[in-house]
Amino acid sequence: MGKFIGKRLLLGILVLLGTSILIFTIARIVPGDVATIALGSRATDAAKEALREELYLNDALPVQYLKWLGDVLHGNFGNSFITKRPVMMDVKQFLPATVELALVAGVFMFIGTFGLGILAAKHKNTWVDGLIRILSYIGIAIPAFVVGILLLLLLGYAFPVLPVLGRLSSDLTPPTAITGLYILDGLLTGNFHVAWDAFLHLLLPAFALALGPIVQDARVLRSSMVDNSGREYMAVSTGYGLPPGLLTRKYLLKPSATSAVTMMGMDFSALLGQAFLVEKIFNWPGISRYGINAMLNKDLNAICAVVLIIGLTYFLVNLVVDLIIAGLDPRMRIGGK
Amino acid sequence: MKKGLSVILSFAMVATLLSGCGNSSSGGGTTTQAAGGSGTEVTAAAGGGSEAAGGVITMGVSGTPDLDPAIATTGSSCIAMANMYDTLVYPGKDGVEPRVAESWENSEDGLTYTFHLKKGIQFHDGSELTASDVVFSMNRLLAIGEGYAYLFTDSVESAEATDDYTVVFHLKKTFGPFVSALVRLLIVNEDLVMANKQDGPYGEFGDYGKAWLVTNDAGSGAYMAKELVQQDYFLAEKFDDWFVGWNNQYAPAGFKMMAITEASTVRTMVANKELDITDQWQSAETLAALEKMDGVSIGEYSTYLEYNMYYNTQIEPMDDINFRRAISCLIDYDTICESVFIHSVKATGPVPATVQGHVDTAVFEYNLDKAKEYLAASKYANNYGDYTVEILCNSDVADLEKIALMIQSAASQIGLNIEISKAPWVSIIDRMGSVETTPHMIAINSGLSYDEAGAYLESRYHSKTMGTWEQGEWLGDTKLDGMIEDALATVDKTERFAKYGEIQNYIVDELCPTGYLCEMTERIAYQSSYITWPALENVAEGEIASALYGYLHQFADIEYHTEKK
Repeated sequence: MGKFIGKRLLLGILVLLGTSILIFTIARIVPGDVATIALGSRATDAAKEALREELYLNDALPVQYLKWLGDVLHGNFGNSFITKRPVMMDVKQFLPATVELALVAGVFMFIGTFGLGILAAKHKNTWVDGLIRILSYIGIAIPAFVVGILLLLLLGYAFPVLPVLGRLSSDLTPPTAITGLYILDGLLTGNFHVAWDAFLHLLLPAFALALGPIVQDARVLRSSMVDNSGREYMAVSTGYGLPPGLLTRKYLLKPSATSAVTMMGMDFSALLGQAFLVEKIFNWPGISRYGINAMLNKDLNAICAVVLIIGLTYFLVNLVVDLIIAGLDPRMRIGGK
Repeated sequence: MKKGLSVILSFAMVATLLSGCGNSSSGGGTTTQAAGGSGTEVTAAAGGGSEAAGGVITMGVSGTPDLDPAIATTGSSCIAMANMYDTLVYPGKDGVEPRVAESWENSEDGLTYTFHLKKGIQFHDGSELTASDVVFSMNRLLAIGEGYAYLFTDSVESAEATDDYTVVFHLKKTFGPFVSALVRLLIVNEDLVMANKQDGPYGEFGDYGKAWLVTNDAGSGAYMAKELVQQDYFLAEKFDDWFVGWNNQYAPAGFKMMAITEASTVRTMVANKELDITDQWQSAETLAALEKMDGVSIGEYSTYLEYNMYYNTQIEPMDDINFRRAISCLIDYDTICESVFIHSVKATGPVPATVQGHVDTAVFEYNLDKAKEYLAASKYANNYGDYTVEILCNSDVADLEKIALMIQSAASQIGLNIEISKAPWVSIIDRMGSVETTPHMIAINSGLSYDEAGAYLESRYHSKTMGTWEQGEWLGDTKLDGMIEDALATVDKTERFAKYGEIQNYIVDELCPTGYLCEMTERIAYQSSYITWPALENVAEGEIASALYGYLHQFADIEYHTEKK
């Protein structure tokens, strides 16, 4: 297991290095004078030249990359052209908001996927299965931002029963930052009403993000369970008289969950990068919205930082997923005899 | 055992991820303290934060403002600056009026301007605003070279404080609108900025306080910065000791600019009275829906924006003046003002009619027969059908495509091929960087840095702005450059304005480089049941309030009746 993790970590570093080269090169070779975009067309030549020097733009591209990488390894991603402050400060501000959103969406995904998947598999080819199938098609077909707008208009405008904007009600002060996640920090610092308010603010955007993956992954789980239920070992286990609950939980669900867990892992990682429209609709100050703004404004340093952070998240989440799958499926267990 | 290990490691990975997100010193956002702040950023909120007690007026903006006066030029920044900083002079009905300056005079040769300051003006930290702060502000602006520095870099030689209340500006060359341009010189607190300087490229001045001023203010205006959460909101609170005084007892206790433009979000917030004033970029459909809500009205105003259709005069077939005139006859100006940019005003020349120094010119009307006549007179009379003329639209502004489609439809009736393309703003800036990549036509609205025709004429048509988004015409007309420079160098106002008039007629009659689509009327929705906005409401029937960008949103003048909310 240790060897497996070591190998994955090494691969992860190589992938991140490759990602950094790719995104750095793409960001630099896109046409247009970065200094003019950042400082405005009427900035003085001296100001523009100073910015080019700061970004190493007067050097050859490989030299630019190496100098930039040196700065990054010292924790310095440079300044954002938009916010005019170090990109790392922006990341510290925006990343926790999106991580919190993704985590709650992840919980929804877990509950929804297993709930609907098991229900559909247990009632295969009945009206329940059919209903869940139709819901799945609808859920897959409607993009998350449309779900977001519908929820906003329904529960924020027509029947305002849930808070719909931002992370916290404006009359509340955020809890002392420990993790940056308001619910967790609220609980850790004893500000339970803040944690509750933060949770209520999370419900709609998290649900909007989770709906698509839930119905998609539930279909995968259902198919896998139906497939496995026809295998011989299930017939043998049934013949031995094992209780139905144990049979479903241990011998059917466990091996069937591998594909769904893998997909949930991918969906969870994707949430960080793809949440921007939902973040925009719910005025959620997250890293995804920040990243899109950076791209639209050619904010080089911010673009590189956001892409690398999302790449790192993909790597970490996939590692976690691999470890979970290794726990679920003995055949996948690395190093197992 | 191995299964257990895998579970433990999974939790460890998740914990690592979470701890990476945490910020041991702050909640993610930044808080600002104007008065004597240490420059360190303190606990704050991403998406939350406490507000000033009661009466905080909220408005939507497309992005949180830049708070550094030497950088700020965006729409939201101009609003924030107009409320947080004071200037020597203030935009008035017919020019400028005294603000921090009590009076001023200039030398006969127009190279020296002396300003006498009012006494007892306090900055937000309680220290007194003196002449050395004005000198420092000008030097800082010129050294940084961003924002509105371009207004002064060519003309200002030096600034000196001859005593605590007297500032003298020495110019390298005469600059007629110098005093008008001073509405963009925001006076910063020298001591406060220098107390918070960091290492930087400006010698003894370090970074000139640039890093600190990202989230702090050093002004003396009606409101002072309280909290900035980047790309989320900016909160400012009332400065009780503002030297102008608080005659308006209903002035809001603070204002909050929220980066919200998404239509459904805006609609929800207005309905719930969480948003008092919308941004000006909402579509006509959204505004119509907002207007139907109880207590919501539409406010209209002009910040001297004119929508122009730039013609790239250096590429075929736009290099022929008669061809450009023909194109100008294909634009349905009335429909644009009635249906596209609703209640906008028909343009009568290169400079909006409400700007000082404007003259009416012989602009074109929508007329297909005339268009045919001009085409026949052009050098492309026999082969214009061989060309495809591109209209590039900003993909963020849906209304521009409507105009392009109208022109395309009219052009097809006379056998002219028009192709419509779209690109985001950053790509547009890229394309306008060279004459070859600049499209045949592109619609852009141009604003005004100070209230004089010269500001508009220089930024739009002088060769120095070729290659920027401000001039897609690539005129490179040395005669025109000379006329503009001569007018700007003329100190006598009457004479200068006469020259502005000649320039405007020359541009339209002799060059025809632009289609003047309309003088833009900006429209916002606001909660009129508890907000009284004199600047918008106290105008004569049929007139539209107009002022330089930022100055119509003077929150100190707005009445905010929270008891009616």
